[in-house]
Amino acid sequence: MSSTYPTPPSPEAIRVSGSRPRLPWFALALLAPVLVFGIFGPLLFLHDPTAINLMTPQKPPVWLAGGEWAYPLGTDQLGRDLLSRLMEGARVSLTIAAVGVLLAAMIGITAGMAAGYFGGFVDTIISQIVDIKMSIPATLLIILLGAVIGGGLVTIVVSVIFLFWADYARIIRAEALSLRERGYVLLAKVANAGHGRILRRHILPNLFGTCIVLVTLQVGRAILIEAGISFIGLGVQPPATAWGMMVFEGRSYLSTAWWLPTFSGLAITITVLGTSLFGDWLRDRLDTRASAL
Amino acid sequence: MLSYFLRRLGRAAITIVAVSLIVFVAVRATGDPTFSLVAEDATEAEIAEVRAELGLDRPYFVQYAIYVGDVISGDFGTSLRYKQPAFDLVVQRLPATLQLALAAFILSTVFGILLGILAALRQGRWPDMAIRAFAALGLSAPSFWVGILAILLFGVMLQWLPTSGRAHPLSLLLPAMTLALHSMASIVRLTRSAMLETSSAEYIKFLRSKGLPERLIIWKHALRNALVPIVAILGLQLSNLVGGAVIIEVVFNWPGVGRLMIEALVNHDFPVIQAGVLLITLSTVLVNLAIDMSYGVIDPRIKYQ
Amino acid sequence: MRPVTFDETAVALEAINLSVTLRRSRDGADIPAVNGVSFTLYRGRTLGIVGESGCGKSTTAMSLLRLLPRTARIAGQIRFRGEDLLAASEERLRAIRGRYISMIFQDPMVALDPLFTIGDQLAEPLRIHCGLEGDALRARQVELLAAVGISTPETRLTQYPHQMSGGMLQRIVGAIAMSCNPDVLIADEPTTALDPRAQASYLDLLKMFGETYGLALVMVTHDMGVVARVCDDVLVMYAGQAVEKGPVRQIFNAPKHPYTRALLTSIPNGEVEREWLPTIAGQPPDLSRLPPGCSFAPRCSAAQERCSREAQIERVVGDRHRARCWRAVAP
Repeated sequence: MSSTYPTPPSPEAIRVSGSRPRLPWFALALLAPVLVFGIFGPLLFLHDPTAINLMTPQKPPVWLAGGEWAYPLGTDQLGRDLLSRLMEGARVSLTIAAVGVLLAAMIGITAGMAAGYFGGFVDTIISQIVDIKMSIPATLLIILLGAVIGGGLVTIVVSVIFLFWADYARIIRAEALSLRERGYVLLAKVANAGHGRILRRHILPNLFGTCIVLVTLQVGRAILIEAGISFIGLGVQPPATAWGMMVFEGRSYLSTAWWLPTFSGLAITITVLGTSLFGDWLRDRLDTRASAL
Repeated sequence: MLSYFLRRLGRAAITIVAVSLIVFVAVRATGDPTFSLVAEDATEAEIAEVRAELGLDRPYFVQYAIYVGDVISGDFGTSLRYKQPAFDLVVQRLPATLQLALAAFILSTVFGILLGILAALRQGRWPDMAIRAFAALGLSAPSFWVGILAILLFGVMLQWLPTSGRAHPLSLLLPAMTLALHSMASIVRLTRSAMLETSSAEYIKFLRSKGLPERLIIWKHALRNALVPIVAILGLQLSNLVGGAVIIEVVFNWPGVGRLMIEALVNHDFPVIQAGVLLITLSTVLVNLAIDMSYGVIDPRIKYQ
Repeated sequence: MRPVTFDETAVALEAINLSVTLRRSRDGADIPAVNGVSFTLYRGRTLGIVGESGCGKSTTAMSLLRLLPRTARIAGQIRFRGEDLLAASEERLRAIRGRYISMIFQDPMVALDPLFTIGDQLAEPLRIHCGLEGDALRARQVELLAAVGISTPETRLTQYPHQMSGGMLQRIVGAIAMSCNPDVLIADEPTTALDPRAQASYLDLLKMFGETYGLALVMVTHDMGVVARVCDDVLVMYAGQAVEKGPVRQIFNAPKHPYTRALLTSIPNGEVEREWLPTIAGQPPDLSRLPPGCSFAPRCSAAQERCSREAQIERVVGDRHRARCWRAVAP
């Protein structure tokens, strides 16, 4: 272009130039209670989340007839306080998601960096594996895994790793591919720096923004995966609880205690929405390539 | 075109081999089948005999070859619960799963693209805001929860639609819509950004300078170009939908392979699980191949790569 | 394509006091990209609009067809066939675009839709503006491609843009622009993206179009060499203003504005290298914060105290020759 004729701004540009808030208040407002409950849950419990009280089964939320302040969101079929159970579920769900996503990130980032930086044979192999993984329905792999090792914490975490590492590998590979051609990397090569040193000192630090954004966006998705796994019975086992399991259990009482599945699912939705909005905001702020997600 | 076709075919083949390997490893990992076949007080010699019969004393690659041979001839073992060949059980249920997944696929593609275009055309105004909010929610809400709420609303409270089984002609509606939601939301987002991106392209400016009516520019040129990245992810969406169908089948009591496999999971009915995994992957890979082929029709550049 | 007879003094289009304000997407600031520019296009003559990047020459060209972003505001008049295009309805403009006034863009590799054949994209204006269909349409397509020097036009019609070279694509863009025998053709840096050999022959092609079909040609360029080769008149732009305009011979022989003089001394002598050589010290001003007085003063080697104090008006310096510098009238 020979003059300052601006092309119509791209969607990203519009978001950037528009009234983007300095902090994602809406996302933070969604996430704040989840984080507080997840971290300080045990201090805030109104009741022991696993304490069965057969005197108070299926109490409705406080604003409905028959509800009482002792159980703000009502109780489940065994008389357990729904709010306390949601807090306990937050702790479990968030922990699982965070651990799974971080482990997946470690594997995926390593694979993606190797593929993008070394290219050639290494790249072909890793890209091929990523391709294959993408075309196999994820749920089937989870079921297979569940059939072999049964349900539980390990199944969920391994599933999350299994499902997510390829996303990191794909995006990080693209980044590393372009970083490889940057001047300072070429200089380092000329200076005879070893591959390990170049990867650690020159490539990895430049991937930081992308990784942060990916991890944030993936935490939301991991919570959805955890919920799905719990829903098909391969999640944490009672008396431990997680949100997905609570929806599953509540399903049987749909006509008599609609609040059970409704609030559990709402908790999942709010958390996922909050993390993905926060991730979008981070992506715009750090201006990374993670938009491929 | 031919090399593109061959590459895709090759990838499909590799995928199927990879899944068969994964399943094979899983089969071995569930334990030595010998012990379920011999008496508890069997002697070493008897055990060795059974092992030889099953081929378990041969090297792993020979075992894998035997396994592949069995699979190709449709022998996935006998269901422990139904005492029927696992293959037959799965094949009976497969049409229901594919019907659900394809219905959701069509729903999510058609409505995803239409809503995405609408959002792009009304960028920054209320239809755009509403559609984007809807997409954000669709991506955040777990599908099984949406399904449960749908049952609560349309089945329990309004009693408009059947919420369970596959007997009624309208039975497909709720499960398909629920399943489509997540995938539709991602297609909406992609379509919107692809439309916005293509409409700022140089060739669109040139088309305007030719005096073309705006509807021709949008519906012929911008849309076709926006479809290129959309079609590229349809394969991924389909495999997500097939995977998602497993859970939705449980929610709506849909008599498909997914529910069969979940039951098998509870009953430790491994032959059914492996037959389900292999056959569903096979169908997904085949439909995927067809989608990849249509890509060449939309983007002429593919033909000459 | 038949040559037409035309009157060289016939006015094809007249831009009067054209001003364009663009919204800068970075901060939403309003930028006066074009500021009070006037010029006249004559049939069969070529006007060169010259200047550095950001001087507003492309914006001026795009505003003739109102092809600016929706946030742009255009003021002034564009008189064409007895009407003011700036007052015309969007529908009326569509009937004019591609029919009476058409454009050629800078980069032929991105000017055509990659997913449709050459034939399809060439047929669009012929269908819409001329109502051609069937055999007549096809005959016209072949004729047009032949006219821009494409061999085997029948085969090319069925091919896609990615199967052709940049030079060939720019010829096809030219054929599309010429398809309805327009009165005015606006070429925005049409040869910048081409290799030197293709540049020369493309300029000759455009020149031939102008002379044979009585076309009023607007050539937007940063390259004084291009101006020397094809233009009859020149409009030199700086910071959104026309700083000098007139017949090309007068301006090349006796440039009156210091900026024009600087541009002319920066023409390289070699035949091969025709890239812009930045021999004028300093940067063009930020359009959102123009200096008071003459906007070129900060870079002008002949600037005096009066220059940065007093906004410059256009002065008559010869027959049809104007310059926006008070020293231009001094002998």
